[in-house]
Amino acid sequence: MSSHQTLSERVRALTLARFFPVVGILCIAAVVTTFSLVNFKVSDNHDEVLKDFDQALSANLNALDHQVKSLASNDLIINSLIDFSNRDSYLPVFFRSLAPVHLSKPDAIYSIVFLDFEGRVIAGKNTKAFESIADKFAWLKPALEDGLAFRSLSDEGILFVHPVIYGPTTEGAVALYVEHIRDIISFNSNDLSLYLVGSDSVLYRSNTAPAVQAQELNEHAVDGVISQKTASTHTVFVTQSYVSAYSEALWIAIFVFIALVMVILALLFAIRVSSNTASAIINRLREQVAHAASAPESFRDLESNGTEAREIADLRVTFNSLMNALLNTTFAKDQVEGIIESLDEMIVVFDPKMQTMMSNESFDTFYNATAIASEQDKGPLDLFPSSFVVARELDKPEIITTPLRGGKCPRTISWHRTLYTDADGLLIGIVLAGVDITETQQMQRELSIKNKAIDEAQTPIIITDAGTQGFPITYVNKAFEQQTGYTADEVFGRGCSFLQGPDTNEADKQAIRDALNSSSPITVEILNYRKDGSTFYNRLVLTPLVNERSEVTHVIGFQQDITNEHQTKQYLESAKAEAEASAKLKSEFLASMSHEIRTPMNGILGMLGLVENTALTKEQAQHIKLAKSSADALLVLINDILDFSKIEAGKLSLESVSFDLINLISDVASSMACIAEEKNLEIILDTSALSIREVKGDPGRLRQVLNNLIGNAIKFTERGYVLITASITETNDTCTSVALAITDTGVGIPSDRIDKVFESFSQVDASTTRKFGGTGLGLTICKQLAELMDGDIKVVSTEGEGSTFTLSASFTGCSTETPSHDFAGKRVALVEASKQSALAIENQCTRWGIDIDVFADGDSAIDTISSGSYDAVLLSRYLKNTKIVDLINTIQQGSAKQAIKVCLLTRMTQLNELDEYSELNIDSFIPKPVTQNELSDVLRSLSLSHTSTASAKELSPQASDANISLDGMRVLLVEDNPINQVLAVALLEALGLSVAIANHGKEAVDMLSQDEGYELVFMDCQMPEMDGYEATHCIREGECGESYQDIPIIAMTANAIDGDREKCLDAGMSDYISKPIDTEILHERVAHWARHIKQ
Amino acid sequence: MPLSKLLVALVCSILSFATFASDKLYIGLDADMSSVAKTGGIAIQRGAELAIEDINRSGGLLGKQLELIIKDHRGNPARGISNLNKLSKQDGLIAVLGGVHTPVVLQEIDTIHEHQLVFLVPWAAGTPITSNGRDPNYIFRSSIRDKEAGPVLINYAAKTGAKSVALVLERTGWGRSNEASMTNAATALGLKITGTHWVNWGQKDLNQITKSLKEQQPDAIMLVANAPEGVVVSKALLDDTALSATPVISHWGIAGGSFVDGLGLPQLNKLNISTIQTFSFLNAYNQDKSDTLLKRYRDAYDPEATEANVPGVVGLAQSYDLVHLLAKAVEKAGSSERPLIRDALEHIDHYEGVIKHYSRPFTPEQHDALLRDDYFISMFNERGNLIPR
Repeated sequence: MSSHQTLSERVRALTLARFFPVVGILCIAAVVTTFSLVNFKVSDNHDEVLKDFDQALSANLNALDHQVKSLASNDLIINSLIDFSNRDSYLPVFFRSLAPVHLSKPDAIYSIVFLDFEGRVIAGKNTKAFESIADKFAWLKPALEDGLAFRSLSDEGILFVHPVIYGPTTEGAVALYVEHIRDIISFNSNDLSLYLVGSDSVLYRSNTAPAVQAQELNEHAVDGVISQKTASTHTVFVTQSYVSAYSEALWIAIFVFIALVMVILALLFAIRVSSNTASAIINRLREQVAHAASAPESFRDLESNGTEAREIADLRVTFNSLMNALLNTTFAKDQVEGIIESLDEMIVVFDPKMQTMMSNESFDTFYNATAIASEQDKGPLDLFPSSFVVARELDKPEIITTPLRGGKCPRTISWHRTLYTDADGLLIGIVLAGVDITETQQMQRELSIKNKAIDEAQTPIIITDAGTQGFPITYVNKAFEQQTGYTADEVFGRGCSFLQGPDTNEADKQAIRDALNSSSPITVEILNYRKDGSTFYNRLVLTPLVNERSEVTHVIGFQQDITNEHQTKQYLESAKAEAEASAKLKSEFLASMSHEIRTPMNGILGMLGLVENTALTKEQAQHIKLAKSSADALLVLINDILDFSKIEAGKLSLESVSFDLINLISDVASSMACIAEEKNLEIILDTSALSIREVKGDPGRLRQVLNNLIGNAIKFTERGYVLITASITETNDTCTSVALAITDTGVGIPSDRIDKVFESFSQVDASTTRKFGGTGLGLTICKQLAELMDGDIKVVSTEGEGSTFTLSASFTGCSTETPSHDFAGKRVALVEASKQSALAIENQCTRWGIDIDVFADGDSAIDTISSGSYDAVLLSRYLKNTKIVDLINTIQQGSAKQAIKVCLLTRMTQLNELDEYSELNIDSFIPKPVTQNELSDVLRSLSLSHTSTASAKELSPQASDANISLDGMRVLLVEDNPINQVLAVALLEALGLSVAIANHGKEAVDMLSQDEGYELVFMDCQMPEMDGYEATHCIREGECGESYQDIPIIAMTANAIDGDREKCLDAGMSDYISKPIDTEILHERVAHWARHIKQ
Repeated sequence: MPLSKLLVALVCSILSFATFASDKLYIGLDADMSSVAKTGGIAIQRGAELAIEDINRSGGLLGKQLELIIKDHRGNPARGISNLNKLSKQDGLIAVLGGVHTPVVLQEIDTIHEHQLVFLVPWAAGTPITSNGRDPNYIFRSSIRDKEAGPVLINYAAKTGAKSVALVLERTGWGRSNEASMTNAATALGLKITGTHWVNWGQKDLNQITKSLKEQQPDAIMLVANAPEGVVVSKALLDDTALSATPVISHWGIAGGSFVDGLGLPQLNKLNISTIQTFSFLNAYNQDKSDTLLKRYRDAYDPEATEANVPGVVGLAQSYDLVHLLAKAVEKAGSSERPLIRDALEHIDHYEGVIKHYSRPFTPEQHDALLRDDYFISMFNERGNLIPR
């Protein structure tokens, strides 16, 4: 022991020897650290100043820039470029009122100017400052030619220019110029100097900064510390003198020195203490070893106990390691076994003799479930093929499927084998680790089937990654490659938009982008391009795929080539449009053609009418009559075609005027009576159920429909009668629906044809056309007209028995007329063979309160009439087996007490053949069909009415207007067509008028100006020189003298198209007559205006 | 002497250069060819080109070929004045055709008379353009005259049954010119004017105007604006159900730019817009002339053109007729001196144009060739073409 140094000596010797160099290094480190610290602090301070300054500068510059920009887009400014009016007064005021924001000094020098397209000043504030520097900045081209904002900082100042843009072009500019940057921003500090440097000059320096050159700053060639911050247009520098910068460093150095001295003293003290402690430690070690040896299982590492010699130290260390190795082995084994037991993987270890050395719980559970476990003489080793267990080398795991007991599904396990050898390569054990991959394999199989299905699907499928910008494609199937011509490798990683091309609809693209951005599914039909540039229409269905956190991870697209479908659709649409257009064109053509034909027809008809009234031989008269009836028939055909085509072209509209409905129906029925009587048919009219008279509607069109229906009934009936019944079907405050049923006893319509009678150009069959003639348009037009009247035409028919056509129509403004008679309580006898006719008259009389008895023949009537007290007898002229003359004589002789009034019902065509009755005392005649008006007039004339004093019924038509004398009235006819002139003159002279002719409007105006005697003007519309509208305008303006300003002007025009009437009235004409001229209408209108003039 | 020979040669070369320089006669076109009313500008250009082709084909004017020089003013009066200053330096310049914008022409009146430019107006309608108080007056127009158009538009409003109208006008000389004529016409007809609203060029926000229109509920809206502002007004009306049903009776500014494209067909079809026109191939006065013009237009510019779809058709027809009227005046004057041409224009007896038969089109007192009887109302059909009513 004495040969050793004491521990305390050794420690001191060792530590002190190394202590002094370390102290030296520490001192150097302290000095360096202090210097860096101070430098860092200075630089940090500068950076902050630079950052603050630069931010403030940018903010101020941007605010000014924004102000200029808003001025340039102000619509008042824009408008003043276009509208110079007053701008010289309001623009200067406006600009004077402007003040830039962020100008820190009130005396700042700046300009705000408004420039035209060539950069000339229009208005501004302090424009001189701008003009003096304008050409020192290169703003003209960018601002006025390229339409871009301009901003520049230079030693001349700061210039902001914004273009004034209207429409697509730049038409002017607004500029702000500030002469000094210091007016925008300032920096004050006693220690720091701040410089703002532009391209090559100092633009600004702070208040205390000495003047330096930009180059010196750029090269950092200034005294003191310098920092800089560089922006795109400028650099900011901060400088500080060394004295100012490092004054703080001195204090830090003193502080560090004191700290260093204290550390050295502390260390010396520590060395001394530790060397003394070492000696104490060795003694403790010895005691501990002794203790450990006595109880190894509770061993803790021996602690060093102070002054320990090397041998003792070695001894202690060796002892510790020996003890630890022994204990660690035991401890590690327990740990590993715990881990192995808790593993899900199966682990089994065999020793070189193939005995099970160890297995974990997972393996045991598995093994106990296997079929092998229940077999005698088998062990865990039998789970594995022997070649696998003992093979020298294995490059992959072994997959083994093991059947289980009790019919459970076999499990597939992936086994890893590890040979466990000692350091000499001697086999110690075989470790087998198994992972159950039954489920994994199952899933892989299913996945591969689905992949195959998608790959081989006929529908092109595309998958994109929604997590990456641009939705790059991650998968396409073969069908996609076939459809687009792109291979999968070409499209991976690209967005889908390469399928779109120049003709792809922008809205479709946007719809896809919107759907992708909002993660919603979408179906679009879009024009796509193949790789070879050909196009196809693609029905694209995009469906987003969502993960468990509801985030869209992928988007799947299904594509379908619908090019054929699309083309077919387009073709159908265009074909439909063409068909419709051509149908409309055809109708318009027909309308205009029919109209054109009417003018010459007018001439033909009129001329024939004139010839008819001249002296003719019988043969000539017959020829003229034939020609006239042919022309009439032709006109009917043309009118039908005109109506039909107007309806087809949608140009037909109805009038709304007041008229007497019962009179109209009666007129039509009476007018058709002659034709009916020629065929020995009877027309019967029953309007008894019609309680209204005045209605508002289109009488002309109603008349047309009734004419047609009754005409048809007569045409298709060989014997029997045609019954017209009117009734009200529905009525309310504003509107009344009327049903007019026309029943005939004719050929009827086969039930299989009844649906087609209203179709255009359709008659029951071709033979019908041959037999009865006609265009086949009549019913079509009637039905359309009825529909325009808010009604319809319906037909009920039995073949061979007859048909009933029921016209329904609605009218407004209906009023019920109170009868001007009172027949209540009177007694009337009716002798009428025709049941239908009798019934109609009976209905009417009953409604008036007349007590009526009906007799079918003279024999049954005679006694009752003679004995009864009838006020009147209505007697049909056509009674079977009865001689009318005798019957009347008998009646009149038989009634002793009072002469019975006798009224004879006779056919219209036989009204003139009444000679045989001239001897008899017949009070009145009624033409058949018996109308309400005639019946009431006759009854009144027979003094049956209590109140009426009306005179006896005249057989000639009443015409109140017609009673006005037209003789000698002077009219001016303005007409260019010579045929029409002759015709119109003939018609007008027939009315007793004195006619003068003007060939056109100009001539009419001249004639009127020279002669004040005209009372009425007939005006054609289309004429050379001056047309009718203009001529009317001139007359109304007083060009022909004041006396003519109000002269009635009646338009006479062949323009039968709807709207002409309005055009004429708008032009100032008073009335309107369409050609061909209807004599009656002409007479009526002339009379109307004659009365008007007289009033 | 060599010096005199040199002088003779010099004089000859100058003379030959001079004859070469005035070998042709020129018509300037100073119009918006690229901005908001370029449709109108292009139509005017085409009308002028077709007329010049007619004239050149039949031997030119005074034995010289005629050529068109096109200057674009983009609707900016300052550019227009600059254009006129440049054109005035052109040798052989006989006249200048103007464009769509009234404000431009109004600002050019001084420059026109300073350079004695015969200035032909085939579109701009402002009343003070021709009634400019100058003597002699160098401006001639074959187009609508606002003072005449106001009554036509207001009459039409009255005819459609309107009892009250609101005026929506652009804030320029053109707008003011119409304010006067429409107010007079409305007062004369007893129509109530519910309000007069001014729209700046380039204005986007019409909230104030639509708000007061909603309160006033006029039966019709009279619109005087170019295509971009017309689109802004139409869109503002469409935003409100009640306003979108109110008929809009527009001056023809909307027909001079891309109004239909700007608004879109579906939107257009929701509105009831009518506008005033002077010419349409659909109801041309002289069928033969208009058929020929349309055929040549198709051959030269647009094989797809139909009677209904020629853009800015009034500009085409008016410019075509004006160039022919000018040619007649030049022949009558027998000179290419502009003051003489100006005098001759005032004394043309008659001319059979494509728009109408011009009988004494211009007189010293009347520099407008088309007056109210020559105007008619057209409406947009479902394809956005103007169809006469």
